[in-house]
Order: sequence, then structure tokens, then C-alpha cells
Amino acid sequence: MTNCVYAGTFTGSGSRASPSVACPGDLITFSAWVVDSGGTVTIMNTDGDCNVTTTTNSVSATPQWTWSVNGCSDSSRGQVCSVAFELPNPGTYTCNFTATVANCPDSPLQMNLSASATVAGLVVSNVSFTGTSEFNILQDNGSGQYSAPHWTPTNSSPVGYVANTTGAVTAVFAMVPTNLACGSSVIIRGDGPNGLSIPATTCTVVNGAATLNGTFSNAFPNQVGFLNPLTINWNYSGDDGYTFHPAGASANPVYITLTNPVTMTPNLYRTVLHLACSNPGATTSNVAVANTWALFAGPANVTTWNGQTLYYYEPGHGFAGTCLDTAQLLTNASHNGQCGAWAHLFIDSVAVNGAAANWVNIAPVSATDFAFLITNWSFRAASFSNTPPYTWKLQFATPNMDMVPIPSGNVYGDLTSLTGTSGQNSTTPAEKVFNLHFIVCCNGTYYDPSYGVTYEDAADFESKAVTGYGELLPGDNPPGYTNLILRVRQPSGSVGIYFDPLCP
Amino acid sequence: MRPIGKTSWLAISCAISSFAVPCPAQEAPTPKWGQAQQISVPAPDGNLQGLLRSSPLPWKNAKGEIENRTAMSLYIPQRNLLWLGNAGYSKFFLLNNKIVAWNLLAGPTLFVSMATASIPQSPDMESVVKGELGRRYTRLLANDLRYDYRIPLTLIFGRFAFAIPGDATPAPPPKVTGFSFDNGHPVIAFEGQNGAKAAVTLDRNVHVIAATLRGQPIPLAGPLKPEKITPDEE
Repeated sequence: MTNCVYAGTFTGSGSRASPSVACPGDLITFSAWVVDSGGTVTIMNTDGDCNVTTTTNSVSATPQWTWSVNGCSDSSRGQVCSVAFELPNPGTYTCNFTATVANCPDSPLQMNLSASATVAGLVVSNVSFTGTSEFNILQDNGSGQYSAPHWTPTNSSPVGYVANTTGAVTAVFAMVPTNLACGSSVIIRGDGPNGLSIPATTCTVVNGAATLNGTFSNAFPNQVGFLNPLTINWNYSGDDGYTFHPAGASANPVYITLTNPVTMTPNLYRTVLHLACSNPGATTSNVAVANTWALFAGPANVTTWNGQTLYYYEPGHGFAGTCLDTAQLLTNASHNGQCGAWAHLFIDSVAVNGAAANWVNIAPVSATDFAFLITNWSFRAASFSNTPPYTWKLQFATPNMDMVPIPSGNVYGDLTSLTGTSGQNSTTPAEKVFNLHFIVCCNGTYYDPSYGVTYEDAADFESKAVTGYGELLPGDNPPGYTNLILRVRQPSGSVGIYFDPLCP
Repeated sequence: MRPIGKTSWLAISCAISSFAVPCPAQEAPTPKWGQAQQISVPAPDGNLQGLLRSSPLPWKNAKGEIENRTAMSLYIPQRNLLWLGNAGYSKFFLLNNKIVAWNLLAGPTLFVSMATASIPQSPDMESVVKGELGRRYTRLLANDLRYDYRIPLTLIFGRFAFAIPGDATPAPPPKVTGFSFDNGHPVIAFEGQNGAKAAVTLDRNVHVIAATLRGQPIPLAGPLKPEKITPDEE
């Protein structure tokens, strides 16, 4: 039995090293060897489009290609019927066809055939962002700055620019396959959103690669911004710009700041930038502060840029090993910070957009008050009557003023620690008794990033946050003591807290 | 010497209770002084030898609960001086013919206890000392802080002189680095957790009259005198 159709191959129309490799714009020919056609031969691309097996580009699924082939060439053993077409994008394809002969004397009348073809072309291989207003960003993992190239097929680093400035890029493109020289020069352009495009630029192909140095056609908006991501669709032309072919796309998160943050803070970690810019739209520093504060307020349970939890005294963990500043809070695996770390994080975040924020110390007014207690606590019968109003015993499990380890039932002498007040990612922070607390003054407002609240003044802080004050006495804590004891009073009429310095 | 009996101890201990609970009849605790430890006590004219003893102090708190505390006594035979107080003190010096017990706690705060009795010469000194110890021990049972004073050094140095910037971890007690007399004035030198070195100079009334921080004098508005911790009179 003889098949009417028994073979199919690709043949590039040009003079190539491999007949199944074509340059962009080349016609690719699919040939079916047909025996005794006796009529019309139809070759149909049965999968609508060639199945892409290796490519960085997507291929349109429509239209389905169908060609009717008449007058196939003669052959000593039958006829060769061919169709020519162009695969639109660079890549390697496996194409499935069905060749049908209208009047085949033998069965089957049709046969499924497949063949592979590679379309050579330029594919973006890396992109580096440059420009005078581009600034370096520190990685949260403590391993230094993100370095160029900022984009490769396996990596997408964040990029930072100052608002209302123009960025630039250096993009490198590779010819795939690399052993094919499809012309000596190409025109490349990058299409981005909102006018953030790289105009068409003529580039020379050298050793199978082309490098584009280009400047964005428009400046970045004159406001705080976060392009997540800035996607640039790269296209190239081998025919002087008559037709363009996709060369892949790059995508990078781009943070846009109101001022050059490098001059405002050395702690330009990605999360700091994220807190400064991810709530975008501010055109003034004051609005930028408000937008950043919205990410802390509540508390909002702040996370890193990639969703890792940042704690204010994570429950179950005491003072030991807590982070003291922005760098520690972001780079330490615990991500468990004291109030100072949270104050630093907020100061650094608002500094990115040019806001000057000041560190504010909080301490008890009275020299007698060694410590203050943050809400919430319940008070039982008092143990002491000889040191009024310090009558309640606050007893810790260790010689240190540390609420961890937690005593049974959260009972610390005469006081029991209750749920609250919530800190960042801590419904009840592990520590609630302090000598000092640190907050931030910015634009005349006291911000407490640890708890995500603001205060009008020290009285407001005491009203919102303070349950009591403790004094430390040697008789309760003789040398060698194992459980630190404070004598506690409740807030009285006069404010027991002071802020230093005051907000101007 | 006036021995205190069962009734008077109960009256005191029940009186300090803030709750109207009847006090059960029980024996008043009596001191059980342990072995004397000989220590050297600095004085302006040279060190003296003292005998330091401790005794359990079953102090009844306002809830009527017994807290097992410790009483300390220091007797300096050469001067017939006796001090008794709670066990919160581990350092002593002699000033103005008084024993001053002191301790430096976190803050920093200087605590002093100045309950010195001058024991009159007697053919039976042991009995006289024992009697005085018993009388003061009973007072201590009623109020274990009875003889305690405090000098908040934060009033001189501020809250942050010894703090590590940005660190809210509760400060440990300063490290005492030296004690000396300067023209008869006690000088206590110490170092904060941040490495800052400081010193305070006391006068004969145990008022702070001079202070230095990192080698620089700190101006004082006037002598800083100790404040009594409990409202009762000595």
C-alpha cells in the first residue's frame, strides 16, 4: 500500500548553514512529498500555530494557517508540494501539519506530519539602568547593593530614580542561534508604558550580539512612584525599520523618589525604598510622609518589600538579640526590632522623599520612676504599703527587667499582663516594661512606628499607652537576687512622661 | 534595751497590713544571726575592721504574706558602731562617725542606709549589741526599707548619660570602679554600660557635692541630698 503523503520537511528559503534555520523576514518552506496527487493538495497547520518549544516570545494562536497548493512540481516518484510562510518571532518551533490529497487512489488520503524550524533573531539578554539620577539600592539580605545588569532572564533587580529626571539604559541583545549572522546592523527600540520608551536606535551586530545605549523618551513623573514593574518590550528591525520583530521583554521594579535619597540616608535598603514609594502619588514631602505613615499606622503590621514579617518585640522573644536599627531589622533573620529600630526605619523611609525627621526619647519625668509599663495590665491586691503610691509588686522571672521567660498565666507578682497594646506584627509585644522608648518627630507630629500611632504630646502618650510606673529598690533586690522586683504605681494627675526633644 | 514581746510585734505587723484581716496569734520572729564575716570598712583615716552578719527576715507584706528577706548587720568594734538594715547593701564606709551602707543600682541611683547606732561602752558589750540588734531588727520587720535613702543620679547626669544610644534594653547597674576619700569626702567612681566613666563626691552628710562625667565636671545647682524612701521617721 502506498501512502499518498509520506514526508514533510522545512527548508529555509535563504542560503543558510542549516536548512531549518531562518533569519527574521525569511520565508520558511514546508514541503510535503506527495505521491500521485491527482488533484488539489492541501497542507494545513493543524495546531493553528507552531508549537513553541524554545523561545522567549509568545506566538499568536490565530489565524490558523491553511494553504491550498495547486500545481505541485513533478517528481520521478510523485510530487513535492510546498507552502511558504514566516514565523513571526525568533525561537525554535515544532510545527504540525496535515497534508491532504483530494483524489488519492490509495488510503489514507491524509497524513499528519511535523518538522522543526528555528527562526534566528535578537533576544534581549540583559539590561542595565543608568543615568545621573539613578541611585544604588541596598539588598535587604545585607549582601550589598544591587548591581548591574539589573535585568537578565533569571533576575530582576529594583531600580531607583529621582522624579522628573530622565533615565537611560544599556541593553544587550544576543543573536539566537549565535552562529547565524542576520545582517550587520539592526534597529532596536524599547516600548514602555506612559512614554517611558527607548527610541529606535541603530546598533551594530558584533559577534552575534548588539548593544543599545538609549535614553528614555520622557522623564519620570514628577511625583513619588512605584512602577511594579516597568516592562519594556524590545523590538528590532533588520530592514531599516520597515518591519519590527519582538526581541523579548525586560521587567524591573522602579522606585521614583522626590529627592536624591542617597544624600538623606545611608540606609537605602529596598524595604526602606518600598515603604517610601509603594504608596505613590505624593508631589510634596509632607504628603509623602503621610503616605509612608499609612503603611505603619494601625499598626499596619509592616513587612519587607517581599512580604517578610517585621516584628516589634515578637511574642515569646525577650530583649536579647533584638534589632536596634534599620540595618539590623532588615538584614537579621529574626526581623525582630526594638522601638529604636522601628524609629530608625520610619526616619529612613521618610528621608527618602526629603523629609527631615527627628529622634525623640521618651522617659519618666520623676527620677524615682525607674520604668514605665505599657498597657494592658490588671492589678490585684498590692503587696506593699510602706512605699505609697508604689504599692504593687511587679516581679520578673529573671534578675533582668525582661518579661521573657513568661511566668505561668502571665502573672508578674501583683500584676497580670493582658492582651495589647498591639505593636507591629505583635498583638501583645513580648516586652511592655521599659526605661526608655523611642519615637519620631516629623512635621510637628509625634509618630510611634512601633505601635503605629501618633501622639499630640507626652500626656497623650501616657493616656494612650502607660499603665503604671515602677521604682527599683535595693531591699527588694539584694545582691544575688534571682527575680527582679519593681514597686509599681498607677499614673496620677501629673504627667509622668516627658519627650526629649520636643517637636518644634 | 527594750525587748519586744509577742504583742508588740503583732501590733506592728497587723498595723502595716492594709487589709482588715485578723492577725493570728503567733510568735514574733527573732533574729538568727549567722557567722560573722570580717570585712574591711573604708574610713577617712584608714580602713577599719567590721563584723558583718546576716539573719533571715520573715517580712510580712501588705497582703499578710511572709516574704523571706534578709537582714544585715555590721558592727565595728573599734568605734562601737552598729549598723543594721536590709540585705540590699553590700558596700560600706565610715563617715562622720556613722556607718554608711550603699549600693548603686540601675538608673543609676545611689542608695544609702544610715541607721547607725553608737553603742555605749559597757562591761557587757555583747549583751548591749545584741539588744540593740534586736530592737532594730524588730523595726526592720515592720518596714524593711525603714533606713533606706536614695540619691537619683539621673538628676545629675540625666537619663541617657550611661545608655547605649538607641537601645531600649533595660540598663544593668553601673559597674563600681572605685571608692576613695578625697580630703575626707567619699568619692564613688563607676562606669555605665556605654563605657562612660563617672564619679560622685559626697560630703559629711552624704550629700552629693561634686560629679564628673567622662572626666569633665558636671555643674550642680547645689548639694543633692538623699531622700528617704519610706514616709516613716527613723
